[in-house]
Amino acid sequence: MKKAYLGVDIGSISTKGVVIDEGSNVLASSYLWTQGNPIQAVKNVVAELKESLPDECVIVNSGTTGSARKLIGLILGSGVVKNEITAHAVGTLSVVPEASTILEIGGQDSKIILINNGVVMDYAMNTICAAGTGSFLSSQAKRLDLELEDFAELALSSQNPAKIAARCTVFAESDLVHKAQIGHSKADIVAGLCRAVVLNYLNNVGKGKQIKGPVVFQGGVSKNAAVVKEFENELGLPVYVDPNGHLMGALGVAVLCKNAQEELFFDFNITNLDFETRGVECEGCPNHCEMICVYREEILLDAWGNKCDTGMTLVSNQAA
Amino acid sequence: MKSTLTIGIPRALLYYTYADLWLNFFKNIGVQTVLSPETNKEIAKVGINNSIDEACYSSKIFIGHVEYLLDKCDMVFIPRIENSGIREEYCTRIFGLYDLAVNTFPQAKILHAEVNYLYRKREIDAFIQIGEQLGVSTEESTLAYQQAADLAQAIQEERILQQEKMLASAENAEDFKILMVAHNYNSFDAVIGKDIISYFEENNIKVAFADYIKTKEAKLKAKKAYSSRINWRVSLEMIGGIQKYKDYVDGLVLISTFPCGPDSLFSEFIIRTVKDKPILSLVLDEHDAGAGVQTRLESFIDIITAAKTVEEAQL
Repeated sequence: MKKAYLGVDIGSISTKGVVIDEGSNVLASSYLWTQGNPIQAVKNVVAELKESLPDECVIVNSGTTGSARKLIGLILGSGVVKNEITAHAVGTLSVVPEASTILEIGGQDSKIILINNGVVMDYAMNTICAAGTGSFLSSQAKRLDLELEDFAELALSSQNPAKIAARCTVFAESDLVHKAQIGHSKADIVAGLCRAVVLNYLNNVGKGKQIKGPVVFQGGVSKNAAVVKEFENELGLPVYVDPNGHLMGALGVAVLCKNAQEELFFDFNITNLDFETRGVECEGCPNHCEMICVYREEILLDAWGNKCDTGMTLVSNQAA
Repeated sequence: MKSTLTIGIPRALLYYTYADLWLNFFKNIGVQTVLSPETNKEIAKVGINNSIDEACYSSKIFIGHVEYLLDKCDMVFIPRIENSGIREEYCTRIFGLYDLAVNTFPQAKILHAEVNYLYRKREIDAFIQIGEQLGVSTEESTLAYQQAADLAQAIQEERILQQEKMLASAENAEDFKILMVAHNYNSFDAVIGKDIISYFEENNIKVAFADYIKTKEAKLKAKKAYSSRINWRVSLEMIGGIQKYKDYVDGLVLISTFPCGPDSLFSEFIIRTVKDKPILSLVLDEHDAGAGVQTRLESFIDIITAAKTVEEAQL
């Protein structure tokens, strides 16, 4: 028998799963769309991992991260439920131990994590504004009738990137239309967009932060070579993109599981069980807490969202 | 003749600074008071519906408390306190509250008085003015005010003392501590800061408050560190408190409500000048996003406890 550890990262757009052995080597990995249904997405990820996992491996602990970490942690019976900042830092450091700065641009959020001697010192996340994230690039690609896959190649071919306002997506978009109408080539506009994403990130999320090398860039947008090149130009530092960059969060919790030195029974059978969540509004007081109740085969597993015990009593009475 | 009226006190904004003074003053002159409950979603919702969009979340909540009290008392107590001394100014949202309430609820009876040291309207004058409206003599109001003010001061000094003790005691040396840098009406409000404080406490992190400092001391500390021209009293206390307590804590937590004028300047100021402690800055508004706050709190705790879990992170 070989001990193995499962890490799952359930994001808003995609769900990632990784199984590692005791040397932190990746034994199996899976990457699927969440499609607004985290429970089903995790079942699919677990099923896929089971397929590719060597028979002698036994999962002795599991961990979750990402926005659905609590819900999925409960369903998987996970020993580790960790926020995505710590998980990403731990995952990245297990691959690039000397990393000092982690840049991340995902589908709808972006963050920067600063590391000193392997310890997270500071981080920042984008606030209300999603400007300069992956969804901005993909919507602009659609407007220009381009496939995202061709985006980077076209951008890299540009000799003279158009200047596009970086501060705000709305202005960037009207700038883009204007530049196209006055005759800039598509390649220059696309290169300008990639540049705008980088400037926006550095002015927004990276504002006031000291970015030191080695720099690791991850998240969906890191697959865009033109953005990587712009980061290198702006920072004057080499930027490292790991081919497994999208798995770092999942890898991080898997590593945390391994370090937790706790062994919990993990059942692949969860793919066959019926899990259901129900939203209940507690009317015990004027707070009207919105509670989420999680059921496994019609049995209440747990509930949360309540500020006091009134809601809990209400829910357990209902279940009885 | 003494009034038999019941005075409603909104549990919001300046209540958190003046609770002991106000409640004891009314008690001393023998006037009954009713205090609105801790903010709940219903109160916040009513406040938001009755406020303009541009108002800050805390002042929207205030309006909700006023509405709650309308049918539960004879008069709602809303003084206009512009400052508590020279260069101890409150923000315009706060000293505009009386006018805001009068215009939002024209039917409301409001017990009003004005404090503005620039125009020689001292605190004591305001309480005499209140006494007059309630049929209480100047002498009686003066005495009631002085007693209440002494008591309030003693309570505040005790709070400060307890916090100093907590931070300095060897017993707590091993514990993690954070300094809450927020207006008291945000720190202690049930829908704004209270859950954040309990979250830290549940994780065995001790919470200290930057504004647990005498205004005079805050002024001196802020002057020494930055400038004597900081106009806002609340910002003064935060800046002074950071200077006073920073070295005893593991991190600073800045909480402000959107859109707060003074905070938008001073949060930035603090982030740029305090370089030796981790800082978490949270800007909250009525668009409740508990999950985002949760992630930021969790990772902040990870950062301040990182020193102890170096092995885990280093691998």
